[in-house]
Amino acid sequence: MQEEYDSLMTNNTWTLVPLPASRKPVSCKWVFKIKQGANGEVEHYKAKLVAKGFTQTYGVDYNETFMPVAKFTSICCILALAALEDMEIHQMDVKTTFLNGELEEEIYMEQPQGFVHQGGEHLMCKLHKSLYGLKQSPRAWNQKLNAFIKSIEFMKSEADPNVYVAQVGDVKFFIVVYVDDLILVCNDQNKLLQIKEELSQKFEMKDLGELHFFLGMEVERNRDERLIRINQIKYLKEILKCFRMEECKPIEVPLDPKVKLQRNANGNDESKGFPYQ
Amino acid sequence: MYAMLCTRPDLAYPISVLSQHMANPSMEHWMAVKRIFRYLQGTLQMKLQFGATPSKEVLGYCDADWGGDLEDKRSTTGFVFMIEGGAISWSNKRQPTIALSTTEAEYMANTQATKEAIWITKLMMDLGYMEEKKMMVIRCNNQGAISLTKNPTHHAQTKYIDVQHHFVRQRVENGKVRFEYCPMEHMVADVLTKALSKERYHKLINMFGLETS
Repeated sequence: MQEEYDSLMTNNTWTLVPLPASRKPVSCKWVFKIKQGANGEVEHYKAKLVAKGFTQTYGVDYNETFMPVAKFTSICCILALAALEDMEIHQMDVKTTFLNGELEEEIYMEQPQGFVHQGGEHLMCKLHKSLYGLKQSPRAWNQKLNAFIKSIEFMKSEADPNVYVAQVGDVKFFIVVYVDDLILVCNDQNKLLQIKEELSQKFEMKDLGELHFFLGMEVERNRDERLIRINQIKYLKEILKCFRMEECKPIEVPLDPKVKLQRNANGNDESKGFPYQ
Repeated sequence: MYAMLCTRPDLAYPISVLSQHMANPSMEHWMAVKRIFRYLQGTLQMKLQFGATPSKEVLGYCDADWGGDLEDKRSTTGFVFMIEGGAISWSNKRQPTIALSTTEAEYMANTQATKEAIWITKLMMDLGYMEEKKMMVIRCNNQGAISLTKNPTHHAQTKYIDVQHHFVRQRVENGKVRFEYCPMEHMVADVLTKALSKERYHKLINMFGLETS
């Protein structure tokens, strides 16, 4: 808890100020998590401060909350082009995503439990950086990332606002953003390294190397034949398991062309007893 | 149902059919769901592949199933866009208004496909792979619907068609898209609008770029 509090303080997340008469503060709470290792043993305990976003008022504490995510079609498109042109495809993700965003609105939050400033009990935290749980946190993060990518000379695609393109001479570079996951596609190794470096300097990032797993899908590549294959085998297996169908007899066609499905005619609810989604 | 969105266009139609009965399913529907699970079991290893045909052109296929809905006789639109032999975008949807003929149903499907085509063209332009003047080709298997997209004439047969569907006509005029005839046996989008026999089904999903290896 102390650790989290200290990191919030060093990040300059808020300053203590008296509450303006017209405003209602947002409350917050501590969330505790036990981090488990691969074998289920306790690795460490973690505390996180979250704001209670549902206590915010629209128009006062927040305005825009929309955060766009990349369309799946754009991802497919870019993967296909990268396959054909034998480009590098790498992946990075951002740690503490939502803490990176800067807030446009003025938000006042109650002081966190256990860390109330002595002698300043009446003061409120005026937030500068976004916190988990605030309604505009995702948007604030997206805008910050957007501004940064644009500043390193990328153009935002008009068709999909989460696709960024840079083209200098023969060097082509695409970035696809999916919340805190980034796919970097480039036909030049050096340029790729340089952009990775720039991103890591600005944000706390993890470099995941070549793209293998993204949004629950596996990406396989055969660079000699210039092929990319994507699959969700793992996910499908899980679904089958979840419905206890993992040992059923396979069949080749999903729908029987002879069977015409009709509305449940007799009107009584037969859905009890089977987990129809 | 996330599988439908990402790597398995073959599941789009079965899932949409069954979703229509979500509110009040019967035993029959549950049997159909189980059948899909069995199909999944049989095709677990199926992967969506890009790069088999080395062409950066995007090609669309568009189809409709006229009066496919047994209850309200609405038609179903299905379209798919492919690049390098792999499907990048697909959709199937029941049409909002009732079509009076196959031609009309296909014409409405063309409109939907055109909307997607315009978006994909824009994306490809942004990525630097397509020029402004270039037309996207969409294949369709109804001659009547194709000629409707070209000729801004009024017939007694077609004059009631909703204004929104003439969107496609305007885009054809602007040179944004072009419709091309495609015989039934190569109509990939068929998978998105009806249940098919085994042979035909397997042939078409292969054309999607779905590979079992």
